[in-house]
Amino acid sequence: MNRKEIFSFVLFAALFAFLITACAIPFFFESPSIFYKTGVEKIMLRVGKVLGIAAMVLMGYQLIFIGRFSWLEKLFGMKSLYQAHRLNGRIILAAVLIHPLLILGADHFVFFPLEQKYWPEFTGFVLLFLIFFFIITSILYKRIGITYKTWRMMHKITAPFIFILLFIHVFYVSRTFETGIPLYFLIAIGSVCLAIIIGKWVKR
Amino acid sequence: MKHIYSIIIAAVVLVFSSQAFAYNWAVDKDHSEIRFEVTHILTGVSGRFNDFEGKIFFDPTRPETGKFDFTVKVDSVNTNNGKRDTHLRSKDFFNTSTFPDMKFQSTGISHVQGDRYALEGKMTIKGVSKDIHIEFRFLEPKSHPFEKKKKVAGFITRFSLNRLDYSVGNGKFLEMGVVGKEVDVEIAMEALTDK
Repeated sequence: MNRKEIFSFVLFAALFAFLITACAIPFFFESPSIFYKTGVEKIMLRVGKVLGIAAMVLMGYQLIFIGRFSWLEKLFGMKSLYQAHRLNGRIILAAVLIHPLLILGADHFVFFPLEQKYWPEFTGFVLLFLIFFFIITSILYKRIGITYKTWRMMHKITAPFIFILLFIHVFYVSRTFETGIPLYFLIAIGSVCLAIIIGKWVKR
Repeated sequence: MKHIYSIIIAAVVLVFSSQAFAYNWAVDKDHSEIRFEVTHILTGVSGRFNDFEGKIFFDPTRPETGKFDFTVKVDSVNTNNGKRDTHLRSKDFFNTSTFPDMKFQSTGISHVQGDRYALEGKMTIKGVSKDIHIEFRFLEPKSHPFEKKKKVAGFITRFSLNRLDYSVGNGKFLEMGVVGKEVDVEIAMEALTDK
């Protein structure tokens, strides 16, 4: 293996290890809602939380793929990074669509009423809609008659809003991220995302 | 002559029916509450049902003629915790999608002592109906301080229900020592009627 291959392997392993570590949070830092679930409902809730956390981490990785880091472009090439960005986007879409189904399914699809106390959950639904719109327009923009320039502008403007809503939703929807390691994890990943977004704005 | 008799009969009916109206109490929902408390591990978790409707016909001088008919929207459960309330609405507890209402219909009322009355009735929760016996206090009606044409009375009761009798839960949380089976219910109502 040459130096490039070793570095690629290490980077991939690091990203994978971070993702797996993040997905372990619902197992090691159980929220009160998991305590009161048993059997299939417990599994559904936990898997739903894992998919939510995975989607969040993968969304962070999206910024890395298109962050125009010169060392990354030298390693993988722009084309591979954009392909990874597109594939990752599809994986994120699948995760965010299944996440609420499992979470709601754990409570037998009892939908919460339109009350203020459920605002973190409703933020999640707004986020779901935004992510769906974001990714579907990326896949189908030509078919729906949007020019590349327009799509790119929409994509760049919408992305920061998605990240803001994402971290608000994750922090407030579950007691898991209130304190301790999960909170530090959330702050860390949020800070990295914010740094990349600000960096891209500054570079313009 | 027939005409005069008709007028007299009509007047008598009107007087008696207006008396009947006087004992039809309209629940003042803004000043009425249905609260409950259940043991959670060591202490208790309390909550309320915010959405309910009730018909009360009650004459304290003739309690046996009284009638209480209540419907509670179970979806309106509020324990100040969104996730807990969602869990309560699920099949683990109330299963509100299948059983949206709890009902109470009285079958008999009698005077006990002072302002205390005994109320017999049928409680229906999750499709299970059981006869229950509770006592309530009827607080002496008085003129409403703001609505001069109305008088206000109070109805207060406290009783306990075994939630497992109504399949509100299947016992797994009781076995785990997490949620008790006896639910303490407290109902306080203000009701209005025309003077």
